[in-house]
Amino acid sequence: MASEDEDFAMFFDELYPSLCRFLECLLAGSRALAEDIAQESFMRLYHAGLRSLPEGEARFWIFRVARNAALNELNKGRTRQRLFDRVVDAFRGSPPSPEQELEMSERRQIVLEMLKSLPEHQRSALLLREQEEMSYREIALVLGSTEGKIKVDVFRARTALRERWGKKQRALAGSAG
Amino acid sequence: MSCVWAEKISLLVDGELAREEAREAERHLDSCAACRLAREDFLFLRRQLSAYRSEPNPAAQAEALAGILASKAGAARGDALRDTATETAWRKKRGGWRARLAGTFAAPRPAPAMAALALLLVAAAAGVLAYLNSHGAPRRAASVAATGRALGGWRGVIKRPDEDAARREQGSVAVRDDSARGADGARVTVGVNDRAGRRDDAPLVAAVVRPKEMGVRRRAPATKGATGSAVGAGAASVMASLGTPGRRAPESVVARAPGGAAVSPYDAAGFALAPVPAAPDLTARHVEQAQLLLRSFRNARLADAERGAGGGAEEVAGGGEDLAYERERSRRLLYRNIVLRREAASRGDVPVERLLDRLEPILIDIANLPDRPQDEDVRPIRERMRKKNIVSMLQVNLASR
Repeated sequence: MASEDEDFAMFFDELYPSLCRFLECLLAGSRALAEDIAQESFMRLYHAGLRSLPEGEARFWIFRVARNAALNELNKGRTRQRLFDRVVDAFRGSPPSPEQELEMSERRQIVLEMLKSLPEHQRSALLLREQEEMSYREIALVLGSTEGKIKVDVFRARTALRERWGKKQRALAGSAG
Repeated sequence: MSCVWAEKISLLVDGELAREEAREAERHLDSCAACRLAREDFLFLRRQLSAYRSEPNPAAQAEALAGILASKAGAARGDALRDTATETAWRKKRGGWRARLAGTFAAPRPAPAMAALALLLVAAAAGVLAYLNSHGAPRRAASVAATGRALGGWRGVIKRPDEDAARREQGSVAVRDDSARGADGARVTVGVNDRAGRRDDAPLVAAVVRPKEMGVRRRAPATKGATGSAVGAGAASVMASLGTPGRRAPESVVARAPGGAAVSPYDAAGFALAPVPAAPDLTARHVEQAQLLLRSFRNARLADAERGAGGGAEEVAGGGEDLAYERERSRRLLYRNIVLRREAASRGDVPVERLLDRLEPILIDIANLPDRPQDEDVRPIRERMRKKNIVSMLQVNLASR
């Protein structure tokens, strides 16, 4: 039993941080909620049995389960409003912090704001592509979609972000000048 | 200004185009400024998204893992222990009870100290037996034994039998002898406080002691057995006899110190006990590997450390050690440590649980070292190791096995 637990623990250690990052971006920066969902997802995998999945599939399985759980949270109206408020508040001003932390915090906030503006399926597809470096086929496995749709989603997400980012930069440049 | 090729550029940056299509897209980029700009923007967004950091707290991550691993194992093991205790208790019942109980002491101690420990055990056993006598039934005794909790005001440290040496260092007592277990035997749960007064609630199985091995005198002419045990020079013995179900007052016995002086009288009562599972070999291997890892980590030379310490060692240009092996090893041992610690807690093995609990933060720190650790990364961990004396603790644990 120790051997099976060791395998699980190694899998957990490898994927827990990146799963938390994906969920946090999906949930507009809610780290606590991301960690809760991540742990619940791993718990499900543990009880189902890591070895019960085909080799190499566990990673996609865990992202799929976690993403679905996050979707449930996003679909709750109260959560959506709370996330929106948090993002808005974040742009109203951050508490004082060291210069490096402030720069990172601002960048994180901008990224989160940009992502929040995307429809969830585009957001998920883009995050899995850019953060987890999954192929379109793998993303389709995780999201229960088709490669063709994933191609479109990723492209549209990039186009939308590109446009919003440009607007944001122009707005910042304008306010600075 | 957009171009119809923009979507193909998106596929290009993802490596999702077939070879020929990719060549075409590259050729198009040479002549299309809009697509070149799009590619730059896509790659910029990629850098922003992939640079987003969300590092879970290592302790919280370890805690999350431990919670998951314990969710299935803990419940199952707890049930198994309870069932085993009950089964063991009633398996001992044979028509009339003829059960013997005693403890054996490991004895490489000076007589006075060992006698003092023996007295403590006698007093503890007396408390156990008095409590059990007042409550009577073997069934009750079995449930009491299974939990190993404090009884009638007495509280004792109970330890696993194979930790004799380690616990002797702390002033507690080792009691174990499986060989006498059988139709005429039963095992009892007893315990003592250690030198620091710490209480260990984990049940201890004392050996069934063979009769006529020590100078024990039965006061009451009861028909049911009394036992004695010799454990070596300088050791006293404690004995009790198990009564028969339905008998109200089993005989009392007298414990004797070497030389024949009576130590303490007490009454015996019938009871049966639950065995404590033996320590798994996996724990011993884990402790050994952890010790080797910590030694390696403690002795590893860092290039910057050598320069900074000014210890006179030559600079190791581009050399020194990056502790990558120690980091990876620590990560593997950490997972096992979590599992073993939880298992130790489930079976009530407090000393092992405590040892692994002290080891765990060290493993976490080493596992989370950066790729090229500097002296300021390593020094605090080594200092913590020194203060906790963790390497010696691991060594003592190994030596006692």
